Amino acid sequence: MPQSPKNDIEQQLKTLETQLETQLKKLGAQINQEIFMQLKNTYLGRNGKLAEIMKTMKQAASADRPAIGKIMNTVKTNIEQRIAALGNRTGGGSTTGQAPIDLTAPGTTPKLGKNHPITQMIYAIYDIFESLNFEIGEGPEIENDWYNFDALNMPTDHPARDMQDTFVLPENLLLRTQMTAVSAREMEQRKPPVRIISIGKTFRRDPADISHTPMFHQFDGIMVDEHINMGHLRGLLHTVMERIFEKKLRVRFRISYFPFVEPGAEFDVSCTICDQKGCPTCKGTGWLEMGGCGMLHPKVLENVGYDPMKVQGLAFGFGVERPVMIKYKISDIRLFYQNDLRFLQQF
Amino acid sequence: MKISLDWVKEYTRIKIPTPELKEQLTLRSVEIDAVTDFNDMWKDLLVGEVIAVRKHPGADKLSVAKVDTGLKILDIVCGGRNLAPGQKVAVALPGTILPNGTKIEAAIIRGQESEGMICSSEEIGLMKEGERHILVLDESAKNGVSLAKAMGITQEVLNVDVLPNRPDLMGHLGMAREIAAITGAKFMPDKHKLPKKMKETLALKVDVPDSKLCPRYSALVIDNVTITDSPAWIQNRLRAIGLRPINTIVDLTNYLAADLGLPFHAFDYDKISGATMKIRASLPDETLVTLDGVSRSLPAGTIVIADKDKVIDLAGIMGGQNSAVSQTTKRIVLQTAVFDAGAVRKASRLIGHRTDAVALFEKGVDGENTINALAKAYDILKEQNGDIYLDRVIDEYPKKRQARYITFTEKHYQTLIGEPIETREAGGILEKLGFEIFEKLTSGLKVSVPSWRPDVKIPEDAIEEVARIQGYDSLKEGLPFVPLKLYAKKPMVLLKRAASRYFTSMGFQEAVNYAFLGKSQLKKISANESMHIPLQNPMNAEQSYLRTELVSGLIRNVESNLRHTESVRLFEVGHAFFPGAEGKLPQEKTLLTALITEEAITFYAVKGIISGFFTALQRPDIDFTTTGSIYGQRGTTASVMHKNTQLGDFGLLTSTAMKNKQKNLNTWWLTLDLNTISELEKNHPEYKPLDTYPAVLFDVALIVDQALPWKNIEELVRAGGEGLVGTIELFDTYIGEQIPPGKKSLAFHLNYQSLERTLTKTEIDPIHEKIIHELTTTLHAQVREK
Repeated sequence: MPQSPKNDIEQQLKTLETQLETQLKKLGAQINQEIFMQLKNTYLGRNGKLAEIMKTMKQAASADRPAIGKIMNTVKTNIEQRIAALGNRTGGGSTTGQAPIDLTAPGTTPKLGKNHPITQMIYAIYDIFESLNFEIGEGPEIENDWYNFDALNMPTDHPARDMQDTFVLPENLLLRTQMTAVSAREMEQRKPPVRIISIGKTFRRDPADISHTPMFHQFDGIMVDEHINMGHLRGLLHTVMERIFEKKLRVRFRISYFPFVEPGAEFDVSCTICDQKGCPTCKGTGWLEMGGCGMLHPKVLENVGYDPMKVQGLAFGFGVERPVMIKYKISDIRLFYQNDLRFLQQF
Repeated sequence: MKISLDWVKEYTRIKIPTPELKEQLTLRSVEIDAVTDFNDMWKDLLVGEVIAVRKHPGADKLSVAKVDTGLKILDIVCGGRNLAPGQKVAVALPGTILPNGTKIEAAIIRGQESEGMICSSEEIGLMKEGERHILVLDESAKNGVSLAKAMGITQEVLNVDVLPNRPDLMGHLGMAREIAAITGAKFMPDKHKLPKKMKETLALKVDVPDSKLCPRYSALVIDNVTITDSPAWIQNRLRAIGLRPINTIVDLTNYLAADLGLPFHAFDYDKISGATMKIRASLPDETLVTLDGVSRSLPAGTIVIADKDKVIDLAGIMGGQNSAVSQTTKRIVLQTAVFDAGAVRKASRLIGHRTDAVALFEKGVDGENTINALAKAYDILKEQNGDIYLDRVIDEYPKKRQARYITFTEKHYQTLIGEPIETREAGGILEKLGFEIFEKLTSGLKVSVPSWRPDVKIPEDAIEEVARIQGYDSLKEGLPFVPLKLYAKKPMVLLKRAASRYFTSMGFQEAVNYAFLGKSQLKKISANESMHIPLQNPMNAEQSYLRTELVSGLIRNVESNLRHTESVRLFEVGHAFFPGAEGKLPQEKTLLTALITEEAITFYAVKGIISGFFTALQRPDIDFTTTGSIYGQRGTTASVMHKNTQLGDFGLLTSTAMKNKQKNLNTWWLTLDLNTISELEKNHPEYKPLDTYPAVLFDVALIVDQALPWKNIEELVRAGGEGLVGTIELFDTYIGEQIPPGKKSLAFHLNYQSLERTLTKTEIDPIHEKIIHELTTTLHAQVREK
């Protein structure tokens, strides 16, 4: 059967690719600038082999031309890439070429994957607390009322229990609204002394905006022993925050109210961005809010089976996103969950 | 909550400058969000007197006023509908910048020169008081005086973010007590007493069948009231805290609420039919048109007040229109009551209407103070309306509050706070906050808790009171001495970290997606809604289910990233949620899913990534079996197995699941069940001696049936190798023209190796030939010529 021009051209293209491969195999590592240029001319030059085949396109039926064009492009791209890759080898990184090394030319970096910036922060926080002999706590993201609220001294009519704040699931379950639920579960499994850091996803029914997302991360720590006091809480948080921000910081406690601690406080660190001169991030106050902390409420201690007459516990629960945002000057929390590589690969 | 420092000064001296007060309050009592300084905000505004008004010659809706500003008489064009000669008004001279940023200039308005502006309330940062109404000041205001001074708003107004446990800070009196305690100033609450004489001619029966709904109901029946404008001082105080003056009675209730933190309400006595009020839970299908003109159907459990015929009040939320005070009202029932906080909050939420009263009730109001508060209300009203008289006092309070006592000890304080304190000092602080010392103990105190502090219940609460007023700032920092312990690390914690190390090293970028997804995403991956746990209160349709896989989220990520990049490797580690079996709790699994969109990626590359993962983890050997998947293309999908347990799956996504716009891009997924993998025992490798003797290398190419698994060849070669087969490495699989249909060509390197000696060709050749023979006979392989 006589070959149609279409099949003929296809055949020629295929042969051309094989030819190049064979030639490259033969050359092996002996590729220098000269050979590279030669190859380029032979295959891709104005009067090169590919150009020659292209000229025969006229013979093909016009109906076939789009299909041929497509194949032709693929082959062309393949050959171009193959030869361009050789160019890389003769350029930066290789000394076989004759061209002198150009230090300003980019190196060829293998493709790098990275952890999500939130995960990076989580791992950093784990590492800090593990250095302080804390244990890592883990728990379910679907919770019941007991661990998420009751055990934490949040009675049924507490405002935080409103549907507005909590994602409700069938069977009286919910998505945990705070990592303290995990702390409660982990405490219950152990006897004091305990030191636990629990980090994970938490959920609140907040519409997404630049400072809210319906899912976010918290790190929640507790330390229960016979002689734990609020000065320890402050000392611990000061140490940890300086490590997280890799900076000397001033810290302060502000009165606040969280049902699971008494006394309770809001914990602020000096603004790392303006050094307390006042900037938009700290809203001119010189302080950055990190989250809530305090001494575990006796009811909470009782609820996890501890004797509040014998032990005290320090506790804190902070957002993970916030320190990441401050550290990298990220102004919109939603960026974390859009998973745009142009964002993720910056960290 | 807005707190005016002018108002606070009625109860205490403010000894420190406002910026310091703001900081001290924020640290020790309550966060101050913002401070409004009217002196500064209104620094260019002054009082003017309208001497004459004439119509603007060129504009119907405008007038030209002659305004005396003390020094100069100005012509000002004004659009205020209520403008009239004799009024005292707020004047902005040219050059003034109004709170909203507008700069006032002298201008020609429709051919008429205007030398400034007469301001409306909203133009100077107050609540709007009427459509095209100018603000009219008290006639006693002196021309040319600064506006802030004339209105008696010379001190700052604080924006207070009251914590849910501090109802006492919802009023000026309570804030003054707090400020006094912090600054060491004297706190001077006022005292009021109701007149002893009452007329008792107006009957009113108040019935509270369930005192749980309304623990205390107090009210005055006041006769001979005239409804007019409130005196300027009340109006201006309300304005300063962001309220709009309305009339004598409404202003009075608003004023007292802001003063004492108690919600007040006034009924028109004559609109209460049958002279009875019953406080009860709503009945099915009851409705009420509230003061704002909205008809509201009342959910079950709403506390209401009803007269003989109808509901007249949404207790604790808002009054009804049918019993509201109007311009013609003569007799009022002035009420301040305690309604059940939980019921009020719940009803407010169900109705979808939140008011200042709700904010007060849900924190818990001070039921001990109702009669005092009513006495103050009566005194204020009497001052402006001398003809009124008290007809009757109602006070339904069946279960009186029991005094609550708390023991404070120095030792407990030091244990919890870490600093010593002297009883004398602690007692002083508690007394300033209104606690009473009931009994002195050795190194301690028994105190009674004031009625306005429902949040103080246990000794730790009293310790917090002392510590915060002392200042958390004085806490000495330290790290505790603790017994060290070697903790067992959770397998899952270790595995997640190892997995992310491996996948990032393979060039995968980690993503984090929401745990929820919507119908459209489920449809894309052909997943069944009923297999997903639904959120009962999702915020939008795209977030209505909990995910059971991580694939669909990553598909979205890949799709959006392909708009600006050519290839994507993403992975995510996260929980997937499955409904529990009948009566069982839902299950959560930790999954790892990765997606690869690249040009040259093959089944074997993905399989290799998975095998490499298990090698990196030192987990046992795994197997692969073919399986189907709802989002995988037929013939490309496989399961990762260990014995009979499935550890994961992978394959090429169907074009429904993932449409690649670019020509030759394919997207592969792989999912690993980290829960199951974390339970596998580690496969501790055992050292094998390195080969020191050279190997004999053969390259073999076979043509076999396409269906013949490589594993069969490998096993056969090893079995026939008399223990001398080293590595077997498949390096090429080929199907094409030179191969008969239905067959494939496999090429592999075969190494013969001994750990004890150098092998010779003569030794190996027979073994190799025997193996080749086995391959051709047992597996019907055909040896390919090279």
